[in-house]
Formats: sequence, structure tokens, C-alpha cells
Amino acid sequence: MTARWLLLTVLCTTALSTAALAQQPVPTTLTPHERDIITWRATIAPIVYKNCTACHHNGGSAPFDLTTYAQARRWASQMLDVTQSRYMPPWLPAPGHGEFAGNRRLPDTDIAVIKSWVQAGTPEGTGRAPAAPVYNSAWQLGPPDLILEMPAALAVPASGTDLYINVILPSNLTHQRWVRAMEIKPGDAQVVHHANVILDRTESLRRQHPNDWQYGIPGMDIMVDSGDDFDPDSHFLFWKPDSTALVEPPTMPWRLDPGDDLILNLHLKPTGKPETISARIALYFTDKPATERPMLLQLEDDAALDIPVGDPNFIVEDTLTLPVAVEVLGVYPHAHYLGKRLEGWAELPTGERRDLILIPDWDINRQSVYRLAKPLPLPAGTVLHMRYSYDNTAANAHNPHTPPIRVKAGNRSEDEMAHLWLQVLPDAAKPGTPDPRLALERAWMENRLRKSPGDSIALYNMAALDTAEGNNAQAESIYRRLLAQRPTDVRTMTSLGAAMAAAGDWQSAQQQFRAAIAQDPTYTDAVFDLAALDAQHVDTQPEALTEAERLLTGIIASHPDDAQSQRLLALVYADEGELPKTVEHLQAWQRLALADPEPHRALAQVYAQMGRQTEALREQQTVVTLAPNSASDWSDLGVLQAQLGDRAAAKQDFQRAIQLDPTLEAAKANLSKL
Amino acid sequence: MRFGLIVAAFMLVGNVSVSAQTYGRHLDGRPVTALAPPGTKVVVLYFIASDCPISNRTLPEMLRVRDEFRTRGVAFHFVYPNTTETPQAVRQHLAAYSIGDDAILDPTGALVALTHARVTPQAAILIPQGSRWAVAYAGRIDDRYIRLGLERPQATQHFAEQAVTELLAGRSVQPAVGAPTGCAIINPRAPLMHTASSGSTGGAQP
Repeated sequence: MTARWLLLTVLCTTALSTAALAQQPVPTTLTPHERDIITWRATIAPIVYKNCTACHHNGGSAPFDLTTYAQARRWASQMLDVTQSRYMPPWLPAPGHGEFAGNRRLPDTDIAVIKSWVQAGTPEGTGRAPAAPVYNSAWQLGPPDLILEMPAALAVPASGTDLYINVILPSNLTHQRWVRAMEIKPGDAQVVHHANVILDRTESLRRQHPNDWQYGIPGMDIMVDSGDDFDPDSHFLFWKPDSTALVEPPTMPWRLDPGDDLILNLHLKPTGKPETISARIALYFTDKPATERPMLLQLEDDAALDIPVGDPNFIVEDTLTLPVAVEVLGVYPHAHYLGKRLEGWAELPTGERRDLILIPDWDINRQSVYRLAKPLPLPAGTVLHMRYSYDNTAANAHNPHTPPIRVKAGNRSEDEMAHLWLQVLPDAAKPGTPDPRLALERAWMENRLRKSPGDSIALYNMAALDTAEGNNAQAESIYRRLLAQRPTDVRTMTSLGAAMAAAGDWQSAQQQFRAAIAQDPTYTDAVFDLAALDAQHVDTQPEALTEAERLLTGIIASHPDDAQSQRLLALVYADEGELPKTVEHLQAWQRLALADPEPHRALAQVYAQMGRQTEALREQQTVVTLAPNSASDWSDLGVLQAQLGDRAAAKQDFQRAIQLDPTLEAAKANLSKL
Repeated sequence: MRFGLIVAAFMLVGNVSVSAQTYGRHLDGRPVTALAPPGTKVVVLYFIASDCPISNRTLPEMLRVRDEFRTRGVAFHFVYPNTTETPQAVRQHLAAYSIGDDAILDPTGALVALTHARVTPQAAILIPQGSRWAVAYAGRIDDRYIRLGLERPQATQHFAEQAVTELLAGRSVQPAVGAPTGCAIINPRAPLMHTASSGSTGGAQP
């Protein structure tokens, strides 16, 4: 039943940087002799090829090519500037405060070498020139399993401030897949500055914008409805200009279900002429489901963001105590244009400190996800810390307001945010113990409520946690509290009904669902939940079957691809004895769930009831093809074979069933009757 | 006779190169002998490059100012000072950014030398002074870019527009603020960039 989860999905993309980027002189450690022998061929090309040309190549995301001497010479002055200031290569974290994979910070000696080379007049040198790396526009991992494309090209005006647009790409899957790798091709990489991919498991953003979602929805940050199941966001799906394919560890693919949307949150930078963007996302699947389940955890205090005009150092802090041991896999700090100094660290129960990240000069334009070079283990009881500072003065060149104004939290780029996201992998739970992510989710939500007792998202998720853990009375109490704040919120009304049903008070649940439907007849979850409840109680409420049929027929009329509604309607027709209609909807269910043996199993049973043994046999054969290790299915196949007179095949099937499960009495009895 | 021809050829080249009345070349190769017809109050030279991202991003502001003043006695030219530019690439650039046809190639650096421009994008605003043009303003077009890697979400000061407005009103022009930010001009007559360059690691002012 419904127990929806609401998770803030954080995104961002953005902006430009704050003043005072490393103006300190870089120490020159070169001897006069070393300076004399610095040439493109001998010294500079290897540095450029290692650190620059991943973006700076013809067709790359950077605005110019640096793969040849002629090009490097043309841009030498800029190379000197941007390496001295450490604007390039883009890398915000301060050294010594966390070890990250793909560290792009240029060594001081390389910066000194580039300076000497430019000051010497950019000599090419003699001798063998190193070969420039070769780049191409093909997908890095070969032909993808699935390519998602934007439903319509996005127009970017010639001028103006940066744009933040959310583009919805429906996955259109027919069955569940596990994604082992993803690559984004943003179209024109000189227009797209950053991108984030967010999974919308309930089409929630599309439903909020039914008439124009194809054309992009403005906003730096968005919130999506995470759906019925507790499976919190788990992966950073982030793109920046030098990104190639994003390959996950073999144990941690991410789940993609039929109906899921991918939302591409784009930071776009006008180039001076009108542009169009047509981004594509390539997905690579694996047959091996996740065996380890990371989770994204958030520290934040947006409620504290109320930054006075002229404050050069406004501080926002948060702490979160880990209820379980985890490994930190990655960090993603996020603020908007006023962010100045962003710091995160962990305080172990022993009092020791482990730095997570320090960004001394925040620049949203160069924001990134930072993956740790190796997982950082943190025991239960560790306190995570976040401390951000903000500059709301006119001296902050990034300040979007001239003159500065008071700024609070919000999703627009001119608002602010104070978020520190961590990707953590909880230590594996012992068999029979709860999913440790539930404890992390509870700690996170309790932390939110500590700061903002009326936080409706946190309250909602706490109630969902209570439902998941069987604390239905507590869940009901929270839902009622939320409804006191927002009496017409159909989602909460429906969730309250689900909690009532889970507690056994199904008649009150029916009334609650009916009230939700009266509030919003298009809210499919309430309609489905009421139909499901009706179907469960036809013994005591025979008239409920008629209501269930009507409700499900209505859902399918507007959502013919809703597999669960097709399944439930088939069961309702079976209860009514309408076997041809049962077959019709089981077949529809089967077409929507190609790898699922369950619709075939149901079809086999219905065909058998209808006396259509040959078709029943065909369906049961498909069942054992899809689920070859199910002993009871082999036994059922044997029965159908025997009914059709093939005793030899039946015997093999019963023996196979007994081989798989020697305790299966039905198979033994069937075998003895042959 | 042979000796005399060589001398004559030498003299011809010498005349062209020292001519104070040549301001680069049109795209068809003809020399630009006048920046504006007599009576023009102000000439605005925008130094741009077809391959410079900051120059390109500033073009909408340049075009806005041009469209505001072009009918008010102000002449505008888009100067491509880099010796690496080709007429074909410039024509493509003019079309892509809807600039029009007010382009001057300056491979010999005549306008670079006149204005001391060193970066694209940059504005040089000239006023007549007898039979010559004098530089009344040379510097940033607006204050969006502070140095490489540091830019405002949007410009708060529109220097080129302000300078033209002041000149048309007969007021003195405010001196340029901050170092132009962008791409070094590739031209033998451009000032050297190695110590105080475009974005400037030391001299930028917001």
C-alpha cells in the first residue's frame, strides 16, 4: 500500500566565482638551467596533455583547442593567467582536507614551469614532440543499451544571465533494469556548464507541469516524490565538462524501473548567439542487481539562511550523528552565489577529526561531486559537521543582487542553499535485522525536525518510516498532524488511509481513500489503494467488487501501461468469474512485465480453469523458463503435462521439482500418482 | 632601368606602410581610409575575436549599444585585430552573431597601435581632433568580467554606453576602470601581455 517517500533532491548548477581566487604568488622552484630548457616539446606539452586537453580539444567542452603547439602559443597568455590564479584546471577543494579521486589541482612546479615558458616567449624546442591524446565523440563505453533523448530541443538565448533548466527524459522501460554506467552528451558542451541527473520514480515533475514539461522547467533545485518503496536516492549522477562515462562499482548499479523519468538539471551559459541544446543520455545495463546499497545523506540548515545585507561572513552550521557505521564514498557541497567558504568534517566517537572537504573560495560555476580516493570508514556515533559561510556584500562579485538584498533559502539561483550531501555505504546488516538505511533516514529526518519542528517533508518521511517499521499508530498520528496543517493534501490523506489499512482498520481506510478521491479524482494512488482494499474484502463486502472494477477500469483508461492495475483488474474479473476478461488483462500485464513469471503463472491457472490445457501448458513452460529454480512451478508443469497425456515429460518435471526442493510434498505426491 | 624599378617599388611600399590615414582593411582587402564620414561625433571601435569566448559573450552588449547610438552621429566598427583571423572566418562570425558588416581586419596593427588595445573584447572610443582621431575612452565594455574566472551574474556598469552618452552630451568621459578581461590580442603591435595580462593576476579591479 501507499507509503510515499519525499526526498529533497538537490541540484545545482551554476555560477560564477567569488573574488580573490588565489592571488598568492606561486613559489618558483626552478633553477636558471631548468628555465632554459623549458620548451613546448620537452616540458609543456606533457603538462597540457595530462591536465588540459580532456576539455581543450577540437570538439571538446572548452572554448579552444590546446593539442598543438600553435594553439598553445596562441593561448599562452591565458594559460599563464589562469594557472597562476588556479582558475584552471578547475579544482576547488583545498589540499590536505580529504583525498579525492580525479584530483585536478595542478602541482606548484607545473605552474612555475608554465610561467617560465610564457615569459621565455613560448619556445617550441627541438626533438621529438609527444603525441597528443586522441579524442572522439563516440560513446566511451561503446554502443549503449539505451539512449534517452530530450523530447524537444532547448533554445538558449544569445545573452542574459545563466539559465537553470530541468529537462524530463522518460525512460520508457518495459521492465526493471540495473544501470552500471551512464554517459551524458549535453549537445553543445560550450553552452552546458554542468548537469545533474535526478531519478523521478513517480513522474512527479511531469505531473506538476502537464502541458509544458517537454520544453524544460526552470529552477536550480527541484524536489521529486520518491514513490511507494523505501529506496532512497543512492548515487551522484553528475556531469561536468570533462566527464566521460560515469561507471559505478560492480556491486552498486542503480535501479531503473518502468515509468521512471530521468530529469536532466542543466546549467546553461549564453554564448553570445542563439543556441539550441539537444542532450542525450546513454545507459549501460547489467544483469546483476545491486548487492550493496549506498544512500545519499544530507546535512543542511536552509531554515537558518536569512542573510542580512552587507554581512560578509554569515555562518550556517549543521551536525548529524550517524546511528550506524558507514563508509563515505563521495561528497557534494552545494550553495548558490553568496557561498564563500564550505567545510565538512567528521568527529569520531574518540574525538578524532576526519576532514570531508574544505572549499576556501566557493564558486558555484565550478561545483562538482567529489568522489573519495578510497572509502572513509566512520563508526556509529560519529558526528558529521557542516559549516558554511556566505558573503552578502557588494564586494562579492557573484552577488546576483545590485545593490545586495536580504537573502533566504530557495530554489531560484538568486536564493541561497546550505547543503552538504554525502554518499554513504552502511555496513552490511546482519540477516534478520532492519535495513540500516532506515536508521540513517530516521536520523536525517529527526535532525531536520530538530531544526524545523514543522518541516512537512521530514514529518511525512517520519510517518512513512513508522509505517515501514510497523508503527502504524505513530504514523497515523503524524499524518493527522500534517493534515491539520494541510487538510486537503491528497497525498497525506492517502497515506493516512494506508496506515489505517496496515493497522487493520480497513473500513476507516476505505473512507479515507474515498475522501482523498473526492478531493482529487485523478490521484491514482488513492484510487488504486481503494480498489486494492476493496478486492481484499469482497467476502464481507461483495458490493466492493463492483467498486474495485469501476475504479481500476478508470485507471486503465488513462494509464493503460499501469501493470499493477492490469494485474489487479484481472484478479477482480477472476473473482467475478469473468475469465475471458481475466485473460485479457493478464495478457496486458504480461506485455508490461516481460521478464516477470507471475503473469504467465496466473494465465496458466486461468487457462486450466477454462479447460484450455494446451495454452496453460505453454504459459507454464514460460514460467519455468523465467524462473527455472522454482520447484513448485516444475511440479505444476508436470501436472499440466500429465493432463495432456505426456507422462514421461510429467515425470521429468516432478523429478526436477523434487531435485530442487526435496521437501516439496506436492511434487512427491504427483510423482507417485503417475 | 632595372635599378630604377626596384627603387620605385620600394617607395610604393614605404608610402603605404607609413600612411597615417589607413585603418586596417575591409574584408575584401581594400584599405580602410576613413573611420567615419565628416561630421561624425564619435567612433566606437570594438576589438573582438572570432575564437574568444568572452568576446563572443559580450557581443550582445556591444550590439545593444550600437543599436542605441548608430543613428545619433556615432559610427561603430568591429575590429578583428588578431593576425590569425581570415576573411572567411570573420564572415562566418559576423553572420553567426548577427553583427552586420562593420568589420575591419587589422593585421598590421594600425588600430591596435592607435588605441593600445591588448585584449578582446575591448572598446576604444574616438573623437575627432582636427584631422585626426583621438582616443577618449579605452577599456572594458562593461563590468561583467572582472578577470579570467571571475564574472558577475550580469553587468552592473555599462562603460562603453556611459562614455558615448557623456561624449554626446559634451561632458568629460570617466576614465576606464579595471583591466579588460578576455583574450590576448595576437598582433605584433599589441602590447606585451606577460606581466600584466588580460585577466591580470594583480591589477584587476571590480
